[in-house]
Amino acid sequence: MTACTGCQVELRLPNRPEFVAVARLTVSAIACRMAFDVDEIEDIKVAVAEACTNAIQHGCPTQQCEEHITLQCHIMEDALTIIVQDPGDGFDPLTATRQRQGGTATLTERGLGMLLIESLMDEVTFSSNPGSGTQVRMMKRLNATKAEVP
Amino acid sequence: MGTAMNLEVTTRCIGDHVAIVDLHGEMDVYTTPRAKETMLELLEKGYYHLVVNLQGTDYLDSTALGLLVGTLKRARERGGDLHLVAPGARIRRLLEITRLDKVFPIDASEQEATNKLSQKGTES
Repeated sequence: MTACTGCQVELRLPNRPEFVAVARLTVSAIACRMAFDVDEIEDIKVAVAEACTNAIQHGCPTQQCEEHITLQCHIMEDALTIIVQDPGDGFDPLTATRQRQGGTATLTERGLGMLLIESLMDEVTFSSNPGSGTQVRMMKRLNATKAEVP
Repeated sequence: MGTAMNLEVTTRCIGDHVAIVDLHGEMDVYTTPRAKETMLELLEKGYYHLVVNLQGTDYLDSTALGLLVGTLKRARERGGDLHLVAPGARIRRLLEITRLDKVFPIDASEQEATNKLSQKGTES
């Protein structure tokens, strides 16, 4: 199968940790068909897994939550855009940014996931509104690394 | 889901204070709690010098990094340490991005790590 420009794939995943692997494998298969190289596919897998992990850990108010998280993959000619949406209470983006800027010098265990997403993808936006959950939108360009070579 | 967990955690103890933890497979939000249980148990038993062998670790995410950071903190609070052994190129990249490569002692082999930790153990 060649890349299907303009196609979209949407998954609705139970809010449970064991389904993060399903998200990871799905985006890996899509990225592979789009001719991303092995390192880029690994970057995408980690970023998507981090977004789904955040969605599961923070997007559900109780352990018995029946809500789902959604994963959308938008296949474009030169890029793959992935959107992860959770149904939770959202978070304060300013606080999260300050935590990430603190780095790991103080051995923090939190904020690593968002740092990885921002480092591994070419464009990332977080949006969060009280009551409507959190959305992570991330994009990886095809051949982005090769294009930087003069 | 009916699938088996894709992480095998095995431990080997050397002397009274040094333990090696082998992590084979994938470490994510689903599988990492198993490794956490093992590491906490080792600390409780007095194994404050831990060698975490990542040679067989195919995949690792921020949940696993968080566990390693937390365990390192607990070990150091007790006068011990946590060494990582043989992380692959992908895991090294994640350690570099998060700057944890500056936090963890990283060794090429188990022997190297256990020698260093055994020496610390006799000093403390």
